[in-house]
Amino acid sequence: MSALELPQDVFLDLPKVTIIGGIQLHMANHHGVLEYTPERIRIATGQGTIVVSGAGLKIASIYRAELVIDGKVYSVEIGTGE
Amino acid sequence: MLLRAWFYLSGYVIIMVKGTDVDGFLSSLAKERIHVWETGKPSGNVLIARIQAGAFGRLRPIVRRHRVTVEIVRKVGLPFLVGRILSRKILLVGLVASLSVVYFISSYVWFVRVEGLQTISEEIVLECVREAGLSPGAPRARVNTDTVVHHLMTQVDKLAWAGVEIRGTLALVKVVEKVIPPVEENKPGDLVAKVGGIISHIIPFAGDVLVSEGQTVSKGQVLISGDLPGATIGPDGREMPPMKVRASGIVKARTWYEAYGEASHRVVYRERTGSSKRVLEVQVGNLRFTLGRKPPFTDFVVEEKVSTLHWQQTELPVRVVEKIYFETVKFEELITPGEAERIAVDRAWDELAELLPTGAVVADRQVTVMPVEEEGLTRAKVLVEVIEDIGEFQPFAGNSDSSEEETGQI
Repeated sequence: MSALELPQDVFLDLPKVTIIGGIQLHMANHHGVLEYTPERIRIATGQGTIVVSGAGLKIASIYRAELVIDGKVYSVEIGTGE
Repeated sequence: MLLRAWFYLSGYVIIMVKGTDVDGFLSSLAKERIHVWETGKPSGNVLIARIQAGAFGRLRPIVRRHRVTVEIVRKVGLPFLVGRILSRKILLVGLVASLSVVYFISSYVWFVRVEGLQTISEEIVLECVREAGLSPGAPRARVNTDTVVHHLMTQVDKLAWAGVEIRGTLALVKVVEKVIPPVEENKPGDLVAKVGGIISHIIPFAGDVLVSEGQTVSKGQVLISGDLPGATIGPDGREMPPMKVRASGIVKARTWYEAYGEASHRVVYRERTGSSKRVLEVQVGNLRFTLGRKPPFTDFVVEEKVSTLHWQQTELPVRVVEKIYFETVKFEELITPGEAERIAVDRAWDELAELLPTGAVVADRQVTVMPVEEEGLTRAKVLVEVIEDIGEFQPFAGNSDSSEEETGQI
């Protein structure tokens, strides 16, 4: 797999999360929003659920596999399988 | 940012979604490739979101699946703005109408101004340019300045140069007049008295002298005749045939002029009380509209300041007149008979100055003052005797240019 140098996120449908200074979070390859509150946003992915905790969280943009969250991000838990 | 601009141009709606599964609804939108942005969750089962206006129709199956209700809070963007403007038809009609009125008005010449006139009357020039198609109300496109200039130069003899310039709705006609040296008249005629008087000197240049020094003449009387009798002896000693000449000469005579002046013994003058009021008037053409009420002053003087409005050097037919009413109080003062007399005599002299011909020499003067007590005034009469040239040329009646051959000089 790594020999082909293919981007694993695309190939394996794995979520790719980018956090910008704790005020904005970008995610690629999500499978939909499971829960949406200003304190907690749970997102389905190919690898289980990702839980974003913070304050004043808002989904700034959501389109196909792209998701942007604005607000104060305190923690991101990956693959808890809840 | 560019995406936001695109959303604005294509139009978007702010929707409010209510239901137990609003989060699932949001996920489904993403799966259905509907772009959602700036979402908010005011409470657990209410979702605020923005979607493109075109996608709104595709919500129906998703709404049903998640058993939520969707309500449009606001429509934003250019298509809705245009729609709103279009729905306000009166506004649109007004906008179009006022624009077309401005365009229509500015495509005509509304003012014709003539500059540089000295002896030619303005009416002649205006009439001439009107013949060439330039007059207030003429369409600007139809005015050919070259034609107007050509017409002016051919029709008005006294012009040395003419130019026409159209500035907005103002047509400016600039002219320069020719300087024509005075032409010596040589038509035959008599020298007659322009006023009555007693002849004091006669210096004839041409013609037959009919009056003598010391003689009283009346107005219009022939002093030197241009109609020569047949028995005149010419320079060569032979008799000359009857002929007509242009009579000329200096005929000085004593003439009299009189004038009256009055002065009241009471002098009324006004003094401002210090209170004033400003009233604005708008003048459109010949109509005047007063903004505000006129002050309740019983006695006042008014000062006017007129401001004209200009647009690109063109004077608009709208004027703003600022009127300031100053309240005044009348005062009466009695003046001494001597003062009244002085004023009355001064006025009489002023009156007389307008009657006296230029070049007249005052030989004698007589001032009479008559106080008129019952009317409260003083009256003055000034009588002067002057010596002036009373000769005035008068061409022979019915004498046309054909008789010029007979013209001769003695």
